[in-house]
Amino acid sequence: MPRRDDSEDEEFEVEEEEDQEQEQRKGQKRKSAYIDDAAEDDDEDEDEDEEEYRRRLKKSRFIDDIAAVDEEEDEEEDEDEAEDLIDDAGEEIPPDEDLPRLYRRDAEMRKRDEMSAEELEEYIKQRFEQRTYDVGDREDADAGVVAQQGLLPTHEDPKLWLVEAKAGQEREAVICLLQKAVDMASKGTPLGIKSAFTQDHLKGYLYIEAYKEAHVKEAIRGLRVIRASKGAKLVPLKEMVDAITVNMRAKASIEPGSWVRMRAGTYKHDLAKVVDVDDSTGRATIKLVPRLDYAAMAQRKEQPVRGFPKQPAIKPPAKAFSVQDAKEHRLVVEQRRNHEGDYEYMLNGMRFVDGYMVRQVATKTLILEEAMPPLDELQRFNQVGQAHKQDDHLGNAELASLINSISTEEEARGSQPVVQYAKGDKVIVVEGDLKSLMGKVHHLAEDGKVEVMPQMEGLTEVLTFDAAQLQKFFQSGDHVKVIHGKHEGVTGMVVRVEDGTCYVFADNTREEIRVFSRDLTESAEIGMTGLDTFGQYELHDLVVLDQQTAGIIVAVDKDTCRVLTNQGTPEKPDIRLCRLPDIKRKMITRKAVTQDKWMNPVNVGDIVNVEEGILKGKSATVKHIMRGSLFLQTREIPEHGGFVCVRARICRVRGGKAAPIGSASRGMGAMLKSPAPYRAMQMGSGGAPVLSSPSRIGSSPGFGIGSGGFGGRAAGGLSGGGGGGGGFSGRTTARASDSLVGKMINIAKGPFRGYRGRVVSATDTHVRMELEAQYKTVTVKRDQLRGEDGLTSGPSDSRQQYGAPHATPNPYGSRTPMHTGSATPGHAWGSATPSHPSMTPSYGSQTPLRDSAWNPVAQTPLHPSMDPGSAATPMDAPIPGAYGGSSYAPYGNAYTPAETPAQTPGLDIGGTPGTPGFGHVRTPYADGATPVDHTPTYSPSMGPTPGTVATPELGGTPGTPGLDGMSPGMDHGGDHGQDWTHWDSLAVQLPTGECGVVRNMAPDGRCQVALGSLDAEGNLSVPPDAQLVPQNGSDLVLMQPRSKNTIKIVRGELRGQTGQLIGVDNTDGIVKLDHNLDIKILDMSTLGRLIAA
Amino acid sequence: MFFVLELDKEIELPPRFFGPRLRETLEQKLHSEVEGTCSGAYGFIICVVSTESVSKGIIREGTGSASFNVKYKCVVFRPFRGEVLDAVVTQVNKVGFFAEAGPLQIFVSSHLIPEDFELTTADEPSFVSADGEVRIQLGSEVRLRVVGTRIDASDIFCVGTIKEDYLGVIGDPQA
Repeated sequence: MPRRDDSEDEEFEVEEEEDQEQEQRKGQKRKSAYIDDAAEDDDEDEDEDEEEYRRRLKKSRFIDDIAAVDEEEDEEEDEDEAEDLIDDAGEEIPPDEDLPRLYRRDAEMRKRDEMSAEELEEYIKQRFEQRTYDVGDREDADAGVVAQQGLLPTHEDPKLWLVEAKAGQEREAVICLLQKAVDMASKGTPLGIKSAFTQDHLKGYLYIEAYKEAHVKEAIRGLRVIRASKGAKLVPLKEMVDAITVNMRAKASIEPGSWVRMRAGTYKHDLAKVVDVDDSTGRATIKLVPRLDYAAMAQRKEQPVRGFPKQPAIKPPAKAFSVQDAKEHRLVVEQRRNHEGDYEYMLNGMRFVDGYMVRQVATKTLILEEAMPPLDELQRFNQVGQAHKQDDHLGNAELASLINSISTEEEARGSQPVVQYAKGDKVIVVEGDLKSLMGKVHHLAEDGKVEVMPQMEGLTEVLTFDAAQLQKFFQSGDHVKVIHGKHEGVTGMVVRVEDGTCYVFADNTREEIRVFSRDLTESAEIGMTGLDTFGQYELHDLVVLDQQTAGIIVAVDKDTCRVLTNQGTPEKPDIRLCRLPDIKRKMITRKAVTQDKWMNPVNVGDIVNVEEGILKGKSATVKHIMRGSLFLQTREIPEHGGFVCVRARICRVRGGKAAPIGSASRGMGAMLKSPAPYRAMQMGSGGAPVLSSPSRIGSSPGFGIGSGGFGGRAAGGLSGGGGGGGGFSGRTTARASDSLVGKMINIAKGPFRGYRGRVVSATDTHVRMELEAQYKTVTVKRDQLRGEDGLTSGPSDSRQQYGAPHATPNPYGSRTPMHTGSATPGHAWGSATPSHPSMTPSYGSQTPLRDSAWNPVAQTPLHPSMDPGSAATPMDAPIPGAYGGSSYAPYGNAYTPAETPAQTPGLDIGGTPGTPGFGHVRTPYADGATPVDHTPTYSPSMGPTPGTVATPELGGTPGTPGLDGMSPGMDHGGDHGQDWTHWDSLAVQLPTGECGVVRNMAPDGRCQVALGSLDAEGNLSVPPDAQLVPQNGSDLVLMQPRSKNTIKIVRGELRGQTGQLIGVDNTDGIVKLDHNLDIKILDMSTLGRLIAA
Repeated sequence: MFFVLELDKEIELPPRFFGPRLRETLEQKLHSEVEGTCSGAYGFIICVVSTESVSKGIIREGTGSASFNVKYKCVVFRPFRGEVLDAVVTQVNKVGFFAEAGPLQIFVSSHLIPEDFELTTADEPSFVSADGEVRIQLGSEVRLRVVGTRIDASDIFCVGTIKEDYLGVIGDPQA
């Protein structure tokens, strides 16, 4: 520390010279500042106010400056902080005699303000040349830790003494000492002290460096601002370094470029940017967005407001200053160029640059914004400048460029907001000797310093750095988490690092975001903490929105979330914005199972291939199963986090098998609608092995084992939905819980009769219910339940339907109706179809399913088959496709005999059972089930549903009135039962799996088929010399046409007509007829693909 | 990188498989349960090479199923940072492209594609080099370097780069 002496002395000289110059210019108006001051200080009492005032007027400008301002500010603070915050406001009106001096000072200050950067630099250089040289010298000595340690004070060095001074006048005291030292030196009796300094954060004390206490006492004796009587305290050697260390906290002060907020006034809480700070006066030049009320200013123009006026009742909006606006109000705007060549405007003493107001304020009126201000405020702030610069024609600069400008500006100003380091962060040193050293944060010190463990060979000790000397360091490939800012909580992988910013590829959204590296931290976790929960729900949960709608949460915002629902299609996903109350509950579907196109069971977590629609050929993972809908996640689509909702029946489980017999590209539906029902049976039975294929055993034990269903069927009559028995237990359970859980149900029997409650879980035979009346969860047998409010439990429902009507003398009635249906043919044809018995079981289990399958929420009216609506939507109800497969197959079988109707006496009514038009094979169950009571209500809409054809069988049994010809549908059925006449030139599939075109169709169904081949697109091409294979029409399956195919209608009123298939809506095809260009909506099963010869 | 590892797995078998073909069933089940999965620790299990040993089954109370501890050898694939892989482009969009190396998905950001490549969206999106010679499109085979891996419990995801020497397109889409 002795080394500082020279430099300070030199400095003194410089200042002395300067002051002398001033004195000369003043024309010796007063005597020398030093002498005057020192002399006065020596013999003056501390507390004589009057004296002080007088002295202040006379005092050297050197001290006057600080002392006056300091005192005034103190007063200001005491009086009213909110008022008069602008710099010049505090200044007293000087007495006349002093005016010239003050003006000169003002002018000088202004001159300094207006100096160009070069001039200023020159000025500074001149002034501090000596010192910088000295500092440079010292830096050389600093090289190396050893040298640095050599700088630490020793016993030989001067000691440091702590001296008390008047609070708030520490600086003044130091200057006084300085003057005194110079003065005494010039008198030839220099003071023995070496240096004196004060720390801003240490109020009321200053340090003096000297060898002896006596020197200190001598120096402080007689100084008004120093309490000499308190004496000097020695600072222990160890604490000397700390005493001189500039505190980091203290350093985090208002600096040029920092963001601040006004403490009071019109601009209270407004964001401002510090342009310049004068620490000595405690004033800062700030830039803020003006809040001007031109109209008010125009009115009060004659009395210009000084400083900040009191906060008006209504703040004028913050807006860029505009000369035009001011001129419109006839305000006089002074325009001039500043040293940077930019225009400055003066209005009522206020200065405006680039649309900002620039003014000097006391730093005390500012609140430092520690972190980066919010982006929107920043934007608003920066917009002013940009809008102004671009003369409003590019006013709305893009956000990106804005952020750019913010960041670059930030960097340029070097005012990085406080960076939060965490232990383990990788950092790089960006400043100082150890620049570009990398390391890991080892510890965060209290004072904001960061201890870093360097990552370099040979460096094994922890080094301490200022936070500002460090920067977080990331490499591409690092997995990071955003800890601050708009994307807070997002995790992702760094793909690119560009000075200060990182491009991060977010894990969840699969988007690239740009983040300041200071806002990142390395993290192994994945997800969006903070952004992945929504109330009690989490991202990617399956939630119920209403009774038909469920969906998956694909994005979470603050108050809303986006739900991808099951109402949409992959082509047109249905995304809903939901608030918390919109979500009813969460669904747990871990155990849910449905069936794919080929009746393979689909479990959550399976990978499926989508076989239709725009996702055709893509594969995806099943995340949730909601009835017949699958919520898939695939990385092949970028939207909605890769989630998509598709129908299970257009998918195929990877590893699952397609139908064993050919029909590679055929849908199940087509199969069922085929004119050869037994083929369906074959497929069905063939399907069984599929279902029990090894790979799937685990997922659904016992699934598809036909015999298991026998008992199930018996049970089916009783317990309805539970009737699945062994064979379908997996599914049934899923369904049961699907349909029942959460429902309010009354208990009709048993100890809890009359209670009502909500089902919490359900099994085949029992449900657990939460009673409404008692805080109790009880287990109730299913058959003790009663449907309620139109909400019917699947099982009781089916029981009512099927059980009741068949408690009749009808010998079959006591069993399930389906039994009746299937058994009857069995009777009629005896053992002609040996496969019957084994197939029937499946029936039993199936029937109840149908019921619930058709009721998306098990809520439809009691008898779905009676409801035109449900009848009209047989195949496309969410589940049926899935369940349908196995259930239909046997059915078809049951009807097989019908293909030879002549043998079946009972069939004469409709003569149609085995019709090719068996589109809705399901319905027969219903009809068959309840012929007696429900027939009268058959609506025409049932007509097309060939289901009615089932009734003939029952018609055979006595006591089924009115069945014959009940509905128009019957006619249809009858009509196209064996109507092969329109099959010519249609594309068909053979039982062998080959495809071809029908040629020479005879009325009895015998025909020839020209074999062709399917190309990748599914188009059938038939070579002209194709091989002709004789076939029976009943063996053939019409190939379902696709959009834009030429088609022929094979059944119905329009049969024989040709047209073009415009679109397909589930089971309905939209057809444009060739002959009159009419657009018709027809059942797909009535359409065949016409292949031109 | 590929490894042959010996791992083990508990497999549960329902009682109806207790019989002469038990071991066969076990192996089948092992294959179906293990192959194609991904564990964070080992990577993707590509295939089971052999079954080393099967413990005695322990009947589970209540279900009647037996659980077996099966030790098996399998080929695993685990990507590492810095590894160079050949992959097939599966998707191209404005932020970069996705490629697959077997079961592994790799994302190559546009920042990690050499600057002279530009995205063209005519007919199908692709990155085309300045001279138009090289084209990164759906199905292109690229050689890339893994710069970062994200390893979850059940998935691995990588970020790759082709902005280095000897990296880039090595084959055009197969017709």
